[in-house]
Amino acid sequence: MTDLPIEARDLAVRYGRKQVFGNVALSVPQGSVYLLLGRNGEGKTSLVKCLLGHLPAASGQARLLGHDAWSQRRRAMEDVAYVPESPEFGGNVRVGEILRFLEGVRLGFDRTGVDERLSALGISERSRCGSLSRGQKTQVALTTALACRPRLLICDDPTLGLDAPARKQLLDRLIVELAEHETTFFLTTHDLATLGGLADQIGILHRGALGVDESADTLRGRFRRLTFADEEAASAASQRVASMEPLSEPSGAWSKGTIVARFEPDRLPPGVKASPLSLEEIFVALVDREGEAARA
Amino acid sequence: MRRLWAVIAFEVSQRRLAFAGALASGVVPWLLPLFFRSSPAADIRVAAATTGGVLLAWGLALIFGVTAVGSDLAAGRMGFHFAQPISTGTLWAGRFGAAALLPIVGGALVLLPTALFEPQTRSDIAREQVVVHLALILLSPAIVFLANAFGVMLRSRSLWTVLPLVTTLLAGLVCAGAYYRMMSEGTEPLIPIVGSSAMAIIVLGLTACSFLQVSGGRTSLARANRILCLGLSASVLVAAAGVHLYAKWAVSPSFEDLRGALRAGVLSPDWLLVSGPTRGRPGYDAVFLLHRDRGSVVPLPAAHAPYRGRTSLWHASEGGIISLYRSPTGSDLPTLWWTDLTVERPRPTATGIAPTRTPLAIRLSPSGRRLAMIVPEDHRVGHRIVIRELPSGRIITSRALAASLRPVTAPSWNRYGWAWQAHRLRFLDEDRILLVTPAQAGDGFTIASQTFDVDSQTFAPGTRVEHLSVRNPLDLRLSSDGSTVVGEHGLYSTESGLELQRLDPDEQLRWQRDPLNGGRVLEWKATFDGDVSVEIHPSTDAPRRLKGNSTGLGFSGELPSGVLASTTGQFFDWTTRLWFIPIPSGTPVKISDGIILARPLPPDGILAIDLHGSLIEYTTLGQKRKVWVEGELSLGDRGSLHRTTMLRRLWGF
Repeated sequence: MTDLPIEARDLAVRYGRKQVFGNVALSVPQGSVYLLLGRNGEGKTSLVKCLLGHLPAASGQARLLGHDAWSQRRRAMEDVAYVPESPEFGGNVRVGEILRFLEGVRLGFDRTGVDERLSALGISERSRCGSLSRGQKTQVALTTALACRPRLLICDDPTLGLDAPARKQLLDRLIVELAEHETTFFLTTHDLATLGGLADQIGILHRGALGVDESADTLRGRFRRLTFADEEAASAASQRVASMEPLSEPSGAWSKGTIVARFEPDRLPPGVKASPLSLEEIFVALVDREGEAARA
Repeated sequence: MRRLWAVIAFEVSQRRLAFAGALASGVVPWLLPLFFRSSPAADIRVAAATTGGVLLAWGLALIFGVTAVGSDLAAGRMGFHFAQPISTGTLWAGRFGAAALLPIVGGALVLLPTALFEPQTRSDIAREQVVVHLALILLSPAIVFLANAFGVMLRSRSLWTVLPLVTTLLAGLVCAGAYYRMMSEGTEPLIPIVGSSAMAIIVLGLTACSFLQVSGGRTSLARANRILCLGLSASVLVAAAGVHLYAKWAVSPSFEDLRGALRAGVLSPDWLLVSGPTRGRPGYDAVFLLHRDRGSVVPLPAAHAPYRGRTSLWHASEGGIISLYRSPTGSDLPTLWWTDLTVERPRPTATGIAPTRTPLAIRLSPSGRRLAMIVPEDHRVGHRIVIRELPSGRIITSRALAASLRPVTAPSWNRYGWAWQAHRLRFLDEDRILLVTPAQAGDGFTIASQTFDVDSQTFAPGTRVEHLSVRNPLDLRLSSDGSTVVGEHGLYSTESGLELQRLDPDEQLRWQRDPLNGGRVLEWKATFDGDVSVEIHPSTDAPRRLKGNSTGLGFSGELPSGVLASTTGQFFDWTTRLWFIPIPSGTPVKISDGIILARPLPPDGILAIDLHGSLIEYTTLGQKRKVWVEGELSLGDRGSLHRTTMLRRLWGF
């Protein structure tokens, strides 16, 4: 194993007898943005917790910055910050107490600008966490996480519950952080519209395994929606389309077209039009094949 | 360290209200007397401060224990802490350290102002009260760990919680068995130690579990609960196993376990009763029958120890049959036990005799198969002689004594002793019993003798010694068999009523007179300066003075070879000495310093215990014949606390 920000091999997590996922292998290079996708309940948060050393792996190994996530958690956390799905600090805790606590436990905690940033969000040192909205809590978590100057920032669905301006602010902050400090980001999200553009690498947890783990550009490049001029064209192209790993039968839905997972522009038959897909469309196409089939 | 302080500071800041509450509570003891003017203000202050301090500390411990980790686990807040570069040890120490320390500080804040500024707390009782309550406050961390466990279990609502419930039930049964065994074997002094040790094991287990809960459970309530349930169950089972094994071990001490002898008695020419502390059993004294020739040992239940509260009556027949009192488990009624010392391995047998009141006199027949007792009547007016068969306890006959023969009774200086001026009983043979009764008669006393015939159930009047005068009833000293009595003016035979020896009347310095065999009297004299002299009547010799400054003395007995054995000593500095006084010369010979006298040992020795607890058999020449127990007790060190207590009990101060 190396000192990559995140490295996992044959990772599996179980809750009792139920295996959430298994055989997960991933590596996140320094300075990249890794976007982990998956439907609800596929185990994104469990994977994050396992990477953070909050959950023990049933098998395999997870390492953060070269340290074992479970047994060397403290050392790993020196350079890692975490923004949870729903940040909770305790209702009576004041924001100032959190800041002082982090100053005490984080040697590199940089308070510069934190107060101003929180003030801009309407949050003061004396604000009690119980009185903050979900979005405000996320902002506090993100602000304090970034003030730790981490080499790796792990965010579990950070846009959950944020309004549009807040999502925009979050995106801007992440972009600035990425540009200034080359921080590595590991994000899970359902909000591909906001965060999809940031991704260098994309992983998709599906059916208990990491079904996709590749660069965002490659992923975008190999998925296309093919539409046919008419049924005859669809029929003529069926052999070539079949070699491009269609996610649905072209003959069965020629009018809607089909999505292929191995698009080859050189082999595009006449009468067939290829249009690119958004990340969200690719994700849906990948994880909702059964639904598609059922609907068809 | 910096991180630990950060965690503690964070936790303390979350609970700062507790400090404010404790500070406010500290004023309450000073305000309460304004509302309760009927009681002394100082009493109210001390009571409120001590009780309030403990209640506040325990209350806070309960709350902080439940919320130390459990509430954050349940609310999903632990992720924030585990996402920081804090080791699980630091997190555990900071969180539980704060939760454990705050109740102590809170309780102390309530207690200390009164302890420091209330003048009444300078009294010993109040100081002790404060110290005890401070100790109770210091138990708060145990409550924190217990509350943490219960808090997590209740929040998890998991089936795992059943496990500690089952194991606790199982452990309770095991402990109940151990408790019953220890009670029935008379090792109840160890029960508080065993109980607190078991609790300490559980608390230590809970403490360890709380660490494992944090390090292994981390952010998962279910996993934390599983670890706690397993850990608590294991702790409870370990504690129960410890209690079981300790109880099993404690009730079966070997003779070699004796650290020293505290009490020894001569039951028969062959058998000695030896009792003393044993290793690893603080506060508990084991009892053994020791055979002098064979050296064989029979362990007895500790409840049969002769000096225990309900075993004070302890009697041997001439034939070597002993009977003891003991308190059966779960009953306040003492039961009489009977042992045949003529067999190879004597075993105490319960007779079923459970006198509701302590007998005034007791005597075994020469065969040991009959028991005569003088017992008070239920209405406490008259007395009754009861003859029973042993070991069955069946009553052979029972007759009320004449009201005119109500004996003189007076408590001795040793309230634990058996020195009442009561009847003397003596079996003339298996069927006839001589009853000698000292009775009040005007300004003096009368000693009346009568013979009771068991078969005919009749009393045959004997002689009377009339007009005996003594300064107080305790100076009226009957020989153990009731054959002679010493009054102020002389020694008299209770059988003939004749004066055997004339003595000078009351002397200012006289200490006491003891009747000896053959119509002689041993007279002890002591000055208030501590000089002690001894004189035997009749004798032409001048009184023999014993060396050393002695304020206490005791006559042990006359050895068959014509040597008296005696002790002198200062009660409070333990410089007790054993003296042998050969009657022909009358010159006391000091055997050793630091000897507590046991009893004369037939045919011509004495059994003694030194201050180290060594049980030694001396010959009348003052030579050691045998050391039965090597004592390792000593006064003045921690191990001697029990011995000091024991001596206090024996000597009655």
